[in-house]
Amino acid sequence: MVLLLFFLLWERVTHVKEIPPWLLPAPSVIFKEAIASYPLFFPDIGATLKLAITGLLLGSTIGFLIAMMLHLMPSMRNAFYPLLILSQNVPIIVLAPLLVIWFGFGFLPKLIIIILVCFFPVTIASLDGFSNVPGELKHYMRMSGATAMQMFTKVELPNALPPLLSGVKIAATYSVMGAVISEWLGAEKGIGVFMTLSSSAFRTDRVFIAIFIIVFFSMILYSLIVVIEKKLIKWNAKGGE
Amino acid sequence: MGAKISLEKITKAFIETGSVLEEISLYVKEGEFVSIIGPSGSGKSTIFQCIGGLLLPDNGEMFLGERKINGGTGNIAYMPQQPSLLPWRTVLDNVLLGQELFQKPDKQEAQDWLKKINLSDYENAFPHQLSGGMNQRVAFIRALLSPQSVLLLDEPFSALDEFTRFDMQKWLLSVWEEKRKSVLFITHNIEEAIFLSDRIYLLSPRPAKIVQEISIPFKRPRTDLLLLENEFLQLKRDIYSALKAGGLHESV
Ligand SMILES: Nc1ncnc2c1ncn2[C@@H]1O[C@H](COP(=O)(O)OP(=O)(O)OP(=O)(O)O)[C@@H](O)[C@H]1O
Ligand SMILES: [Mg+2]
Repeated sequence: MVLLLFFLLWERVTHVKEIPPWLLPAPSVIFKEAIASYPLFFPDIGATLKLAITGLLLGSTIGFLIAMMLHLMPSMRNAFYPLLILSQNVPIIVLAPLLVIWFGFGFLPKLIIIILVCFFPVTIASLDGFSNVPGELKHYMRMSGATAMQMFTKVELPNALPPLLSGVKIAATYSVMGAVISEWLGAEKGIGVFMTLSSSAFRTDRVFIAIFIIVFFSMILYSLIVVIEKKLIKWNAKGGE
Repeated sequence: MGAKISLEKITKAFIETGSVLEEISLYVKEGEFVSIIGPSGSGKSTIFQCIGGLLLPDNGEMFLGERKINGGTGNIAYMPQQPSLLPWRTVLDNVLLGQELFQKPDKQEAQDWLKKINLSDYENAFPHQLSGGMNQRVAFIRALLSPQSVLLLDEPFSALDEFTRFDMQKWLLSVWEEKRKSVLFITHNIEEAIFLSDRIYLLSPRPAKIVQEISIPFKRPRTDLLLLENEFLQLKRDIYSALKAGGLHESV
């Protein structure tokens, strides 16, 4: 609703103020161009999505495994936690060219970038879920003779599922952006490539097409995880009915 | 001595709070219901944590049958004040949890019991969909179906309102009559202790010592009428004065 109003206003402003299309094209112009040049960028969508989804899956898995390792081996925690923070403090823009030098222009360096972006929210959220078990549940389990492994599989792990999925949601919204940024490094196909080409040709309408595609697919991925969440988490008002 | 579970001169002190338990000796016979009454903070839960193996007593020995259990876990089934059901498990799966920790759970038995206590319809419901009293029943069945033969109940009804509480006491007795495990029951409530127990231990304020052991002569099954009998009221008065003499009347 708000979105529709926003587009209508945008349309009006571009017409009334006669803003040249290379500066800010009207939504109607963008839409027409999207339909016209559809075959042009269609392969790009596939390439970017493949990158984003592979990265998201791998990144989330790695993020979860790291969280599990840090939780089950507390001695690792002190050693690796600073490294984890560090991995988020090095700007991707700086890291990206380095990755290209090390791994070339192929799929791998791009994947690494997305993984780096995606794993962190999942790790932090899982760690939080592992350790935020209500005290009385832990007490019951210990009094009843649960082993450390049973405590993990029967209590800590299920307790971490909701925050874990929240982490994956955040990662999902990053993943498409991450894929596009990684394509700026150099790629044959991808929305990132389409975007760079369009912008250097002052085809602002196409740049906007790229932006809309990014937003659209980020939202699709996000909703997909919300659906999975609803399926998996039925035990509280937050996730279930 | 034929006791199911026995504590012999258990002593425990914490660095921060000093001595908490002083030479606590008690026992529960096979199929016996025994209560511990003591003021807040006297060390009742600490006794349970020693038996459960979460705390190692500084001195003394604990036995399950003939076996010494100091520091060992998994020897008792437990029911705390909060239901402490796992929120992501259905009622049925929660009931199975106690068994699951040690063996392949018996689903049929659990379903039969849920039926017996009229919670069949809630088998696949989650704890948040049940009332506090219902959850507490589930928690008791979970403990009752755990493989251990001794039950430790730590003020299981104190979070419930007065009315539900009395219902729960009667309910507990009726269920327990059917599957008589040895029970050690902690409470603040004198009436509750008399109504439920075969014997009662009175604890002093911290550091806890056992000040008196009282046998409750009433036959089972017991009904609410018991609460009005003279003998019942007399016992209540006796315990009240015993506690008061120990300086614990504020807890009652
Ligand atoms: N792990 C611990 N470390 C230090 N002090 C403790 C510990 N556990 C219990 N205490 C102390 O031991 C005393 C007895 O505690 P406990 O929980 O056994 O009392 P309680 O009789 O169960 O009380 P309540 O009726 O309130 O449940 C308290 O003063 C408490 O501060
Ligand atoms: Mg207590």
